[in-house]
Amino acid sequence: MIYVLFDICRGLLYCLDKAVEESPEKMSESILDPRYMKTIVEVQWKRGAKGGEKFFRLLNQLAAPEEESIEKFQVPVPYNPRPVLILPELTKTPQDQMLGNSLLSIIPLNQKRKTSEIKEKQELMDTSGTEDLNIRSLANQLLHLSSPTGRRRSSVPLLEEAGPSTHIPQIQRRYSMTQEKKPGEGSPFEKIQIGNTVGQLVDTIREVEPCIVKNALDVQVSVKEQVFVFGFGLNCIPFSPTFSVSSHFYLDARKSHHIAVHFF
Amino acid sequence: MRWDKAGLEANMNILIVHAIVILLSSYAEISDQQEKGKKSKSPKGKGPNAVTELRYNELLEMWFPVKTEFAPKGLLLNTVEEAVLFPDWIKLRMIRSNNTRLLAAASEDLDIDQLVLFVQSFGIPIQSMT
Repeated sequence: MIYVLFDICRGLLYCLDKAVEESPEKMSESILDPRYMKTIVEVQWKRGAKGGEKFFRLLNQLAAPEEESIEKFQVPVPYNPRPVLILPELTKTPQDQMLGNSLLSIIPLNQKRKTSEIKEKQELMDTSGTEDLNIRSLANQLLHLSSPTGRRRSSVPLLEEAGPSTHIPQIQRRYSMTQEKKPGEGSPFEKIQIGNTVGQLVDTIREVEPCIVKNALDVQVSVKEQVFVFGFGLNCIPFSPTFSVSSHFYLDARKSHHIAVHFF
Repeated sequence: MRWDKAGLEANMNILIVHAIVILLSSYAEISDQQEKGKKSKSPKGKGPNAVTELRYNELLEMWFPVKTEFAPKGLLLNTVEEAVLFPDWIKLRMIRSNNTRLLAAASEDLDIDQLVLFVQSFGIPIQSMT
């Protein structure tokens, strides 16, 4: 009888079955995690072990209320998503592209420009029509001319014409100025440029904003005379110390150059 | 230690009993393998194997007899109370061994807590599980 019992109660799972038969309450007390024990028994069955069916049934009974309680705990929580701002997808329309191109044309990315220049350009861009383009191009040319480097470049051929007898830069400048003063002896390039651009610019500015020219004329001679003077290099403009109006910057620049020459 | 049926007594440390159990549990596998080797024609190892097997069987019979009535009992010297011969770690070792007699002795009077503990432990052969 004993041997038979031994044969039956050979493995742990059989012993567990027997224990469940004898005292299921104590067994259920001693099991802490029925789900874990279930997996253990399943693994042992997969390995090829036999027995433990009663124990498994007990584990199911124990695990069922726990799972229910877990489900109850998890399910009823309502999910209130926070309001999220949904932005529309950015798509490139032809209008956007045009706008981007125009922006790029105004503000080139590879070049750092002064904000004042950009503002001027934007102001110019605000006015509509073909006049804008004219004004822009003229303003660019004038800026190029009025810049000291541009001016110097224009004076270089004059010096070369005058010959190699220039030693000191101060003298050079004076010489160039005198060359400039003489009518007809200045470089033809300069003549044409000044004659064309300044006149046009002054006309257009007078058309667009006459107040600028008026302000300029308060201290100067008439516009046509100015153009004449610039075009033929006659230094007969009455220099005035009240050149503070920024709108006729081109005249300022021109004169400042002259003044500089004189003071050198 | 007292063998009631045989009328034998011996004073020894509990560690010796543990050592014998460990020896038996670890040697069980070897003897099984040797038995298998014998069956599959191994005349060279016949002599020493026979001797070791004899000794092993003697020891096994002495400590874990086929009839559980002949099993020894451990008594404490001072109080003459029955001592726990096999603590949990020794029992786990016995269960892990392939020896059916050791397994039977170990799983003879296991608590439910012990059972649950042993089921959760690793390295128990399928033979001991089923």
